[in-house]
Amino acid sequence: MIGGRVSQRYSKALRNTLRILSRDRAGLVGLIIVLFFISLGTIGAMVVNYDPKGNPEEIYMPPSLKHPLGTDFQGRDVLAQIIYGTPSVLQVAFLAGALTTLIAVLAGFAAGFLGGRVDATIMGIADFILTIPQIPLFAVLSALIRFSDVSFLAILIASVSWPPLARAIRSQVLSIKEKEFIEVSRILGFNVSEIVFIEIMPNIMPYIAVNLVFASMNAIYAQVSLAYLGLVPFIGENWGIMLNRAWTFGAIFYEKSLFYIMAPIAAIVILQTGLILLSRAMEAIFNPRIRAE
Amino acid sequence: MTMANTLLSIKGLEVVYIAPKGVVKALRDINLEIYEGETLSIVGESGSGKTTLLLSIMRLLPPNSRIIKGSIALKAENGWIDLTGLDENSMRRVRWSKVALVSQAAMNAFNPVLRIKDHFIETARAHMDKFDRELILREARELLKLVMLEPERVLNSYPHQLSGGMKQRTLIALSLLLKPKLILMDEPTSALDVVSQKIILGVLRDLKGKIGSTIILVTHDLGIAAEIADRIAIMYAGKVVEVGSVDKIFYEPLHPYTKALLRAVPRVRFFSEIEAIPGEPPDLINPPSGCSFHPRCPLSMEICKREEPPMIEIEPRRPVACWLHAKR
Amino acid sequence: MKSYSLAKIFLSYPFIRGLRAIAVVFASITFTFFIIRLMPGNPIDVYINTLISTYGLSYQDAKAQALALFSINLDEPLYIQYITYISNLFKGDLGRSIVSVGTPVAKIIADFLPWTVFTVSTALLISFSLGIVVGMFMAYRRGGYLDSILTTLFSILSSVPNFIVGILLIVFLGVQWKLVPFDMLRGSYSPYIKPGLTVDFILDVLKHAIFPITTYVITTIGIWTLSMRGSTISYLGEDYVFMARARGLPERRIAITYVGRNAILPLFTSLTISIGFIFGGSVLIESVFVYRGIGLRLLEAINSRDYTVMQGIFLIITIAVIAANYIADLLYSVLDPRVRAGGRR
Repeated sequence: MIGGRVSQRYSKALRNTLRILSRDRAGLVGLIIVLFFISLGTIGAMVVNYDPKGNPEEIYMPPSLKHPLGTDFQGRDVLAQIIYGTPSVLQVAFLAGALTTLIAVLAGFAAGFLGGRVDATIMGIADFILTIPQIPLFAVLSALIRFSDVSFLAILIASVSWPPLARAIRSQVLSIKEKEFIEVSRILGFNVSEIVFIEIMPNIMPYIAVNLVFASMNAIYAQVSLAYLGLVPFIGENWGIMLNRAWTFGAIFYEKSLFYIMAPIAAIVILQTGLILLSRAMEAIFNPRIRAE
Repeated sequence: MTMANTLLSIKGLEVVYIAPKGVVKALRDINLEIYEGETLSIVGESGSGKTTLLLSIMRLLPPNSRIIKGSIALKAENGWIDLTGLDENSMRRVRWSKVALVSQAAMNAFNPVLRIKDHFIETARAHMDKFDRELILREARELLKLVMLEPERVLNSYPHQLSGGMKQRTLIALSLLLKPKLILMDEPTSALDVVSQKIILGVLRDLKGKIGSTIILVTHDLGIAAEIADRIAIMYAGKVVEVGSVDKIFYEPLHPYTKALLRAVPRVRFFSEIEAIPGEPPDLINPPSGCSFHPRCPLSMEICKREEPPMIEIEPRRPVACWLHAKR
Repeated sequence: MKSYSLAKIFLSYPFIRGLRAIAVVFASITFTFFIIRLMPGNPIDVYINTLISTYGLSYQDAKAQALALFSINLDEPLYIQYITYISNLFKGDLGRSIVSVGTPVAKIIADFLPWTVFTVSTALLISFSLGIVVGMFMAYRRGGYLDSILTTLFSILSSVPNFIVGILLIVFLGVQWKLVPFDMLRGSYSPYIKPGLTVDFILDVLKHAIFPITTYVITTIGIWTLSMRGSTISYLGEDYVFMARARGLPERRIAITYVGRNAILPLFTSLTISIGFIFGGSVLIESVFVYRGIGLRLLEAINSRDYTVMQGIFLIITIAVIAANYIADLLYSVLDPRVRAGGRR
């Protein structure tokens, strides 16, 4: 009985989502962009041929059929670098995003449900984390901790990105806890987990979905920034590393290297734009008031 | 009642709202005369158009509504002003100085970041080229005393420091600042608890005697109308259906709707059956044909379904729109 | 009488929020302390080992040198080290640089910090002011052509990372279109001009600061515009706005004092986040423009493994953010009278 109701609720939400996405052009564009990059990172990376040694005779070539985005200062194909860089960008983004959401949900629920000292402690930690500026913290930590693993970077990013979502979840939990239908559910005999899944989760889903996107965007910003600063050399062909190389090897100040610089920038901007359009569409889906405008 | 002069003359007023589902005819051919010095109460259900009428007089209708026909003529020093024809700038100067509105939103009627005295001062500043700040504050103190409030305390407070009843009374005091000829009140007591309601009614009754303004008081509560008004106008489905003095309306109601409203009010002194009015309020996008009350009227006849009854003065200043009385 | 006014001070909003700010400062100091001490690859031990292996110092001498530079004595129990660290901080002693041996960290910070504070505060002010004006403008014209274009524009602008905006400015304005000689604009002022309160110097400083500031503004203005737009739209429907019109107040007064002043209030929450973001971003932007502020200096310290300077700068950046937030808090209480009496928002 419960299973049926739950799946009913969630499938209705899904159908609503698809219906609105089909009408909201901006959201659709966002979704297409994100899917494009995902396919680039999965299929593209397997299919494309990339020669890291480069070809000294093909330095800084303009775009051509052979090199659609030109070549870099070592004669390596730029498009291939972009495609090869996509998986690590996406990995860190989605891993950090998922971890952030997980931590935030646990923290927010614990704070909201349990209240009292637990609540005060968790929110105190959250407030403190919010005060520390992220990039300097990551920069300093990269010097102190020897890490060479992409997932560690994701964990690091997640550990400082969870407070805003945790706050939102906590206030949702608090407001729903007060509502009468929770009392009624309890009286009717539903236990805690049933109440959580049937009543609270659907109300929180909007925040989680939107925040997943925001957390991913923040993770992309963090990793690209760190890569650009040269603080995470292990990260492979990340787009940020391309910019770091461009900077170190003087490509920024060289006229003919425009495509080499613009390619990773375009990739970053397009992906972030896609994510932001997606998040705004999601906000409209879950908040009928915005939809009405 | 002596033959007083007309202060506000509404003729043939039609107002619509443009909603996603269609065009809502909120006011359909309103004709009403308001006389100097009187307190007229407009009574009707939600949706009857009473608030829309007040907003039309103030020209504060929301962007999706229009006055499509009719005139609202206000008596001024040198002749009549048609409020429907004024441009926004001139209308701004009319507002509050000639016609003031005390809305039911007194809870949130004041700017949270300004003190009450700032509200008084800026209202004066908006209407006077030169004004004496001290004089205005003295005026404000007098008015606040008039509504039974402590002047200094209220003037120096921020809105959030005042209770609902206090804010409502402050708003009434503020409405008197520029000595407007006409004061419109929209459900001045609905949002308050019973005790505050009683205080406000007392204040209003007091004021009636002391100030010379004309008052239009809109309410759904006949009881309040009985306490304060001189005359009552009954509205239904965007039209005025009956007007008369308080006594005449209560003791000799003419329109079936008026009678139904009276039956729906419980009496304190003797036990009486409360009767709800059967049926539902009419759809104003497609109002019923003929007399809009006919689907719910126990006395409806054939002609009621076909033709709208005209507004006819049974006696002087006693108009009714009902076929039962039109035949005479 | 006397006790009443004392209570008034201690219960006042500025005091309570001030206490809170100090508490957070202490938390940051503690955090910074433990980061350095407890991280695997403890920099102090590393330093000592380097001294021993590379320079052949004895363990005693190496430890003494470490003590002088880090202001931390490894012999003492942890809590004593902590207390010593804090008391040193109060004396203004942040240790000494490892790389520029002996230079007090405090002096390094004093040399670089003002430039960052200058650019960041100017940028915040410009960004916020412009943002709320444009946001209100968009709200009043919502649904219109200009509104939709600007909304899309600002959404895209918000998704461009800040240092990329900087790079784009250099690439296009400097390299491709050759409008700006960026290689002449490195540092916070030109090497040939003598610092002082002269017009020449001030103009030179502005010349060097304008691109970092512009980059900060471009990156943060989107958030202000879009939030102010949303806030204004919701406040336009408030009852007191309606009543202000009913009272015959001029539209301009209503826009500024009734809509504007109230619509700004919710934006202060984002101000907190923005302050942290912009100070943190100084690391990136100063490196793009080679602007000699604290962010760039931090990067240099990281690359040269100058742990004491790293620690000092990180702490100062965090404290600067906390201080800026406190100022924003006070500003909020000035603007919103509802908050003044209780100390809670």
